[in-house]
Amino acid sequence: MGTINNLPQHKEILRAIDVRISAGKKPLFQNLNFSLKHGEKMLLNGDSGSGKSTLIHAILGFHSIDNGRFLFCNAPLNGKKLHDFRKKVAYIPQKLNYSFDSTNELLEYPFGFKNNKDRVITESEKMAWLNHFELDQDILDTEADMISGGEMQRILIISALMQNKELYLLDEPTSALDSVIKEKVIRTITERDITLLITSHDSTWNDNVDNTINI
Amino acid sequence: MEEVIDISWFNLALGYLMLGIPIGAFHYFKTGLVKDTLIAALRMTVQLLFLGVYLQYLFKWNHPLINIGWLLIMIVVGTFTIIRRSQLNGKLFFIPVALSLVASFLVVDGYFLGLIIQPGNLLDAKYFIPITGMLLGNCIRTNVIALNRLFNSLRKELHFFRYSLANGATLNEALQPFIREALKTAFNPTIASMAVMGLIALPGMMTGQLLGGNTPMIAIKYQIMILIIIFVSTMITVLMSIFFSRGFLFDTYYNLNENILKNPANKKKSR
Repeated sequence: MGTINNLPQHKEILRAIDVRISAGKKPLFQNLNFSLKHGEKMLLNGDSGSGKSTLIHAILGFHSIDNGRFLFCNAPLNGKKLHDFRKKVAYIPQKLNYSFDSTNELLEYPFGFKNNKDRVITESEKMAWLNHFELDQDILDTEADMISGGEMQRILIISALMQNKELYLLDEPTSALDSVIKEKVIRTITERDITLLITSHDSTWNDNVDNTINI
Repeated sequence: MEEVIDISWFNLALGYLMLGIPIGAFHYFKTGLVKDTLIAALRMTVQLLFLGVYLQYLFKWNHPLINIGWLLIMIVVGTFTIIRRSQLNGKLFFIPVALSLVASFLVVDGYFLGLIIQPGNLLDAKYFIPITGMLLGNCIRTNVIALNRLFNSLRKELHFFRYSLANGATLNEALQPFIREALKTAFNPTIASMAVMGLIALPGMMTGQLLGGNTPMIAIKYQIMILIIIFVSTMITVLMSIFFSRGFLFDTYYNLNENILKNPANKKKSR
């Protein structure tokens, strides 16, 4: 486990209090507690099937919690608060099964929402990101179905990072990347001044995060 | 107007003999369709005879209340048909789908009959019954395609729906790609058939008008109007079905209600 930053000026973004989650009748977590402060990076480490994605879904209100609660900036995540929370989050799911006409459409999709409209993205910003993640510019004109899993993940990461959100929830965001580009992507993400909760069973993340929760 | 030539019952029976050609072909090629054809022909006969008998009375009485009663029965039957064919949960969807049909008929019948045809009496059986009956059939078909597509893709592409919501989309924004696809799937055939209308075949409505002794110009005017009102009424039905069912489609956190389909797989509860 890395260092835990307990400085009082560090605002708490997300906290889990005695959370119990199950999938059907199978319990996944009992009494899960953690605290994620502004700027911190936390890794949920566990094998596939251990319930990492379910935990992210539960935070986002897509899965029920049996017991306990999540707090976002000290307020319980339920009711209207949960809808506000979703506006302040950038989320990358493990899978995204939708046929966009072009990769550019996929990249810009979240910026079409009213809530994200004030964030104007420029062509040069996009190009710089593509370049940084070693993607060809032509990829933007390709059908999103035709790009590889690794390219898809980089595009989703670019799309998420270009949104300025208070919390980043990334579910296995680098599982399809080969090791060289993966390290670069991980370093780029973790070096940014963002608050981050990632699920992964990849040890490369371990050295780059502040906290690891093994589940 | 010239009277149309009636077909005597004997001649009608002679007409059935023509079915011998397709049935012979099915038999010869061992398609197994002979029985299906015979059953279909029998059903068609019984159903249409029944329709003919009750339409005769509807036209004879031509009473607004009776016509409205007929419309209500048609709406109930139509709603059941839509729900059954799209595998939806009848308990939840009956009222939204029925209301969508009511809304569609109010708008389209009202506008078309009240403003364009102006038969004097809006509920005059001669106009009200055939027009509404034709609209209903089309509304059923298109609504089934649209609702099927919408709910199946919402279940299959759940990750994408959640991706939108969890990146700040409103429910409307997250639904938009799904509704777009459902509308495209449901309305593409209508648009395609409108575009080739009259090129290769005489449309049914027009054929009826011509046989009834009307001039080709009257026939095409009706045909054009019918195509337009079918388009409009199906769109109203589809949109209103979705709109009226929004209350129970999702829970507080916009998780899709697993009970919307008749046989929900792995029911999930949410916080």
